[in-house]
Amino acid sequence: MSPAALTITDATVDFGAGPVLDRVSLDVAAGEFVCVVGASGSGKTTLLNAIAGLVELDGGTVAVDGRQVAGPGPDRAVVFQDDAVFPWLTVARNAAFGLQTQGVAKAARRERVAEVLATVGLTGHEDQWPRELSGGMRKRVDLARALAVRPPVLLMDEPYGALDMLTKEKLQGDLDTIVSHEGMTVVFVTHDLEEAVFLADRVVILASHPGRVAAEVQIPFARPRDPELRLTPDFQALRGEVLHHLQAVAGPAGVAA
Amino acid sequence: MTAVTAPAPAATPRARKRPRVDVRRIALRAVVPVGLIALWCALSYGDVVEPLYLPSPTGMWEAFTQLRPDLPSAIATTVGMTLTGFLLGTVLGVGLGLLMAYSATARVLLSDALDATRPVPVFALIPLFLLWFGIGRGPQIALIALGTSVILGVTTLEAIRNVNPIHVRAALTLGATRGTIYRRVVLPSIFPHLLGAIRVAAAASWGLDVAAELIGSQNGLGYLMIVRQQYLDTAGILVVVVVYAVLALVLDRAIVWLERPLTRWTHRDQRAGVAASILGRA
Ligand SMILES: Nc1ncnc2c1ncn2[C@@H]1O[C@H](COP(=O)(O)OP(=O)(O)OP(=O)(O)O)[C@@H](O)[C@H]1O
Ligand SMILES: [Mg+2]
Repeated sequence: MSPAALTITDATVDFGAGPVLDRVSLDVAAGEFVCVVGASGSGKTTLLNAIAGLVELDGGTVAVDGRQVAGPGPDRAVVFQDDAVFPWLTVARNAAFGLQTQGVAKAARRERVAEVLATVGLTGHEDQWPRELSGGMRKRVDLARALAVRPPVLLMDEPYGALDMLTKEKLQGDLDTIVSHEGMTVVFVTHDLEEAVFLADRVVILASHPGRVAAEVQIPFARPRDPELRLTPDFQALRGEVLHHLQAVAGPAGVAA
Repeated sequence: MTAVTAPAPAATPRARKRPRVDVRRIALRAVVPVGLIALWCALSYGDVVEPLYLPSPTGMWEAFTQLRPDLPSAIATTVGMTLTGFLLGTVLGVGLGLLMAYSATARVLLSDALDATRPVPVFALIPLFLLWFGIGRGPQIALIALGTSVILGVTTLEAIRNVNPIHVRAALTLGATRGTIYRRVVLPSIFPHLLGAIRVAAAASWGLDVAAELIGSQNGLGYLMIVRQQYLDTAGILVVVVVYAVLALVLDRAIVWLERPLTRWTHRDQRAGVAASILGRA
């Protein structure tokens, strides 16, 4: 499926103790990669869940290619912050889950699973159980499962937050390659500014209490991106710009978050 | 003989890590059983305790040969009754649990009742059963089935409450319907818990059978026990206890053997390394 445009209009979410998201509006073009950064508790996960249809909006709308969403669906695949691999399925069967729910025939399913496992670098691990995998490999399974259904929109919530730097950079490079090849609309939440600038076409800075879009920074680098890009002055300048926005949003009292 | 060891054949990771034969461990494990048997021999052959209270090994063997003609039919009756009650109770208990998992209405209707039933000892219901159903195989099987189904119903419900919500959310975002989530997320998630509970219920069903037979039966191991008691034949009673123990063990092993291929994904057989020195190897 080709990438879809995502339109979030005045999204408001309130769990009962004041709004967590307050009239958040965000337009993501088809094929665009948007990273969302913000302090802990600023509502990044809530925003992603609202897009995914896992959290009900108390106001506003989310639309994919103009069609308003009402609940979760495979047009918006999610890679969660926490480990969400099904431990009772092998790697290959995990990857096949979404294809199966959509009634893809067995032969086509097998072909797509092989393809997607190759994409995330898990070829040869098809028959392993998740408990036999490292944390980084399990994240790849999560990603493979989400990619398998060729989602027009991919939502990722700090997928690499718990990984070491080298594994993280490897997976970031892989994701960049995948996105460059397949063309996908991605909303990617992260705490890591370097990760955000390396992956994104645009970085969105969320302010806390209540969560709202405070600033945006365009990242103009072409894809696929070279890991060495991180060392260039242009890259570091953009990273600094994002950091300044974040500090401005946090204010003098907010740095502790 | 060569000094070079042949390279191990391409072994599975598990085979490679198989623990060596641990002599000290085996010796340690033998201490308590061997000690108990020695104590038993000393007490009974040394005439420290009267045979009425503690028969000797030879006394038990004699009782066994005496009972042998009666054992086959008694075992057949008891096994038939226990297994029937156990299977009925399992189907009923798991069925109710799954129904509650699937239907919110069923959950509201039944879960309070089940939670309230949990602490009620099934044995306390025996007089009621006698009153309502009289004596005979029917009420005995019903008692076993009731006890088993309460154990399994409660566990099933509890296991369903503990299904990791993130797995449900992941399935939802992959386009799974309610039915699909039920079959492909909820069922596999609760499976290991269910199998554990089925073992507990199987063990309990033998106890329920003894109780059921004691309240009135004309055949079976429990009945045999009452008869031996009337003859003050302690050795005979103990022989029946041993038979019960062997039957319970066989059923338990059979369940473990049947479940094995279905729970390969769990950690159960992977408890090795440092954790094993604290938790022990299962
Ligand atoms: N289900 C919920 N019920 C009540 N409050 C919630 C719920 N989920 C989130 N919140 C609150 O909403 C706020 C934003 O939470 P959210 O998880 O979206 O933050 P986040 O930006 O993802 O943080 P982190 O970077 O730590 O993951 C927090 O103050 C949190 O306490
Ligand atoms: Mg979060």
